[in-house]
Amino acid sequence: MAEVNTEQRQKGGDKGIVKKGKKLSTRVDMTPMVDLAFLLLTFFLLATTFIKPQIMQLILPEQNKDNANTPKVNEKNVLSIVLEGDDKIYWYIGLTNAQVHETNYSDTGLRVVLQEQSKANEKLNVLIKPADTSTYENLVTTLDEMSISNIQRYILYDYLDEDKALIQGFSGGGQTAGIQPAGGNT
Amino acid sequence: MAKIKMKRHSPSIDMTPMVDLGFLLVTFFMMTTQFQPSELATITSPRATSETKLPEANNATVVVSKDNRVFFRMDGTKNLKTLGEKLNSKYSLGMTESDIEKFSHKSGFGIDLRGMKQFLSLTETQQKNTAMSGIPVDDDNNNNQLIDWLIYARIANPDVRLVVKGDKDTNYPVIKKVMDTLVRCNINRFNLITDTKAKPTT
Repeated sequence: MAEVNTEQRQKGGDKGIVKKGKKLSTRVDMTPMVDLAFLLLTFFLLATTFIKPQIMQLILPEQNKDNANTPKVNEKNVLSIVLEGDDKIYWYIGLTNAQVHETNYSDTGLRVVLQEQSKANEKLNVLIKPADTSTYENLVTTLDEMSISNIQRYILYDYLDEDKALIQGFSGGGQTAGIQPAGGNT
Repeated sequence: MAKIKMKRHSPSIDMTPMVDLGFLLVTFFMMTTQFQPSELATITSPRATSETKLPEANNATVVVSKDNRVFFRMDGTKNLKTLGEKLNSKYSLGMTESDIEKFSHKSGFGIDLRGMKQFLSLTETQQKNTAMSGIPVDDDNNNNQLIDWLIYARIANPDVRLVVKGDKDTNYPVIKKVMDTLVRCNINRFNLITDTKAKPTT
């Protein structure tokens, strides 16, 4: 088509008449571009991750091969918190002839125990002993309670056979033995 | 009284400032967006009152899913490349240059290293459909591959920050295994990812 046009123009030039090209408006329709820009804007707005995950720092003791450096603590200053399955918590002070108590994760449960015990004994050390039946949530909640009650001296400890025996003695003596319907899961 | 003539306004508004702002925002979001890495498994984090935020870069995450599988995730293509090379030579996986290149673009791993070469040769969709069995963290069978992931991750990026992301219903023994592995690699300080919970008002 371009050839035809030039021919015409040449013809026109011969005749001495200047044929004016159709004057195109300098304004370009920018609607599609703007549409696209806003589409991208919406996409990136939605795709951006605004929420940064929250973290809780946990420091575990170094693995020591020999037990020589392990500090010794008076049994009376040790609060053991045993995390059991079905969101149960047992706690007691010391190990020999320990009085086992049961509590839960509610605001009036573990938190009150921790606050009372840390107030009663300034040298309190807390051992957190999660049983194999407990969940990660139990552990994190307990660690969180430590920071809420502002307890600095706590440690993650193994669930020992002694603990198991104590708790079995508690649930066997305090309540009727056997499976009780779990109602504390709400 | 003379009639007040209303000035006729053109019905079209000048939209230039709005469009300018639109483009400015597009550029801003394009530059700052960091896409969320594809989820390896659905994780519901436990809730805690901690308010510390996780920094964006230099993270290596150990993900523990509800069904006790362990995944590893790390940011930085360059770091992942080094990690891939190291693991390749340690386990003699026989990965080629292009395999390592593919490795460095993955957002997370959850398979036995011995199946890595085969896994990388699959197409994207096939990889998605492959069931990830999780990284072995088995100390009894002397098959704790997580140790090597962690050691080489630290070599690849010495500033790496270790993060544990566990599902709230994960059983404690798996978590303990992961934590013990971390301590064995001399990583005593690490972070647990938690969800928001209101601080008690006392």
